[in-house]
Amino acid sequence: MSEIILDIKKISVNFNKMFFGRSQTIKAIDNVSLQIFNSETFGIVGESGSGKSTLGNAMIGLQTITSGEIFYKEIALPLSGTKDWVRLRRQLQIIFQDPFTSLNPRRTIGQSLAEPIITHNLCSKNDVTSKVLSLLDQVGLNSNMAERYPNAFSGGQLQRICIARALAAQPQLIICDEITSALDVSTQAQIISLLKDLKLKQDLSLVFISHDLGLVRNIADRILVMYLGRIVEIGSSDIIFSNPKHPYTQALINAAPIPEPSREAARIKTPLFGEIPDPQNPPSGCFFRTRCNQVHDRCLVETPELKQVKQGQFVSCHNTEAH
Amino acid sequence: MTIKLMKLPIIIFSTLGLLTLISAIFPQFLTPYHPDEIDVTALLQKPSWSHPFGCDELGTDVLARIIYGTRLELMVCLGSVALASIFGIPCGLVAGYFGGKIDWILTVIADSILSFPIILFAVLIVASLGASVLTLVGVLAFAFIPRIFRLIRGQTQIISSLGYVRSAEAMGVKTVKILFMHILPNTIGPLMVIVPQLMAIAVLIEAGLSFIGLGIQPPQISWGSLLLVSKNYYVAAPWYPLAVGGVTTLAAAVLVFAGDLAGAAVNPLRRLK
Repeated sequence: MSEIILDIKKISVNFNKMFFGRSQTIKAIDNVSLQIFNSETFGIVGESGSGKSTLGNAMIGLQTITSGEIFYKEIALPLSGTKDWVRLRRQLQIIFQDPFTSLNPRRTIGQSLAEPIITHNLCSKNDVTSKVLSLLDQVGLNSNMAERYPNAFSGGQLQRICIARALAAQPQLIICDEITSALDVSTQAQIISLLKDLKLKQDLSLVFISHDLGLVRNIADRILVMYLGRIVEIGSSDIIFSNPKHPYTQALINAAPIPEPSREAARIKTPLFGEIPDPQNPPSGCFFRTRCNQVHDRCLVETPELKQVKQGQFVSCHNTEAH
Repeated sequence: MTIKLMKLPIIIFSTLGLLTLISAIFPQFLTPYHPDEIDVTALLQKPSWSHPFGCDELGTDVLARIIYGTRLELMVCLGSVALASIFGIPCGLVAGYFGGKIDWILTVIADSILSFPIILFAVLIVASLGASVLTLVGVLAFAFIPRIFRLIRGQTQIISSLGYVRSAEAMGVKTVKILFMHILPNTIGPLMVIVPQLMAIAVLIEAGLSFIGLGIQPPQISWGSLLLVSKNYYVAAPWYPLAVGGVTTLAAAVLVFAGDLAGAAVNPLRRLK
């Protein structure tokens, strides 16, 4: 296997909420460990509220973690505000979901793109403009767009500009936090192929957070399925899609339509019932037991641990252990 | 057609603004009379073509006194709002951006200032420090700080969660730069709405305080101090207090209206119509 670039060891993120003087803790991320390898695309899927965006932010240090450790190339993530922190900011970047609020409306595209270059002193002052133009060219945009303001662009164009800005500091890892969910389908495809292209050209790892399984299958090498802040299943994309072990993963994959009418008609639809439980008082034992169709007594009391079932496939379910 | 209708208020307000500026800086251009010129033949003279607002108890042209009073009026208005912004904006940015304890402390301070009646506070300060333009500016600024603070704090809270601020954080941009280059410029819209309204409050409070003798003192001329003198002649020369009071009210109304228009101009939903 290639080199580990991000090693996440048992991290938890708790949110404290004061409610009528009583403090309530919400576990957004609960004891998650994983590794991201050099130049791989890592997909994170899950429902709304499963903690995938929080995990994405925590990975690059934008979200303070309550416990656990994160290592970037064997160096622990430094504290926010320190010199090492600023240096590290070149390496780890993020692109957000909503392209319309991702660029400062009062600054031109050129100014926005120049910011990372100037912040990290990547080139001399005279070369900033040419660097900005080459960035725009990289994401397939015209050079005359540098003088315009964000309101002159469509969502797809803005997302391209955000990608260009993330690339400006030549990062090692980019978190893509649902970057296509605000775009229409044809634009989604363009953005995905652009990302694939850029990844091939540069030595880059991507973490692709999405709830669109088809998209993740298309782009990701490995997939992590999350439910209520915990890892449900993790493994290579092919294995997860061809042979999902966890009932939640099975339900998710089952819910995605197949783009082939005959097979789509023959598909046995077993939709998930209910909703994701309230993270303030999660169910005992396995978090998924309230919606699981294979639930038994053990699931009520004991939290299943993440165990390897096959080379490169880890599942946290009592049922898979029994087999 | 719509463009013409939109432009009309802009023309009116820029004319009024220019007029105010000229009367504050070069009042002699707008009136041939001097505000301290005594004319014993024209005591409390009725309005006429040569004296449109009549003359006061010393025979001085009332319009001239109003025009010459604009300078102090504008100084009080702009000075108090500017001073309040200097303190209110950074505090609001810090409280809104960092949250937590510092936010709690600043908000509690702002709320306690807000809960105190301005006039009562002004009476206390003027009684202990003495009446002057500077005290008046200070008192008004103190009363305006929490209003500006709350506005900026709320805006900062909203903007901090947006992608462009978070990407700047992810990029390692310095916090000071994030606050003043990314957040502050995007709060200008709501600020443009509140500033004229605060200036209108300043006009009215200046008039009120000077009227009870706690603001600008004669012989310095402001609209409030003119009102104080003119009230003695409201039977003999009703146009005199009416002219002074009318100008004060009109100025405040115009400022409030300007704030509303600024609000409409910065509101993207209304702008589309």
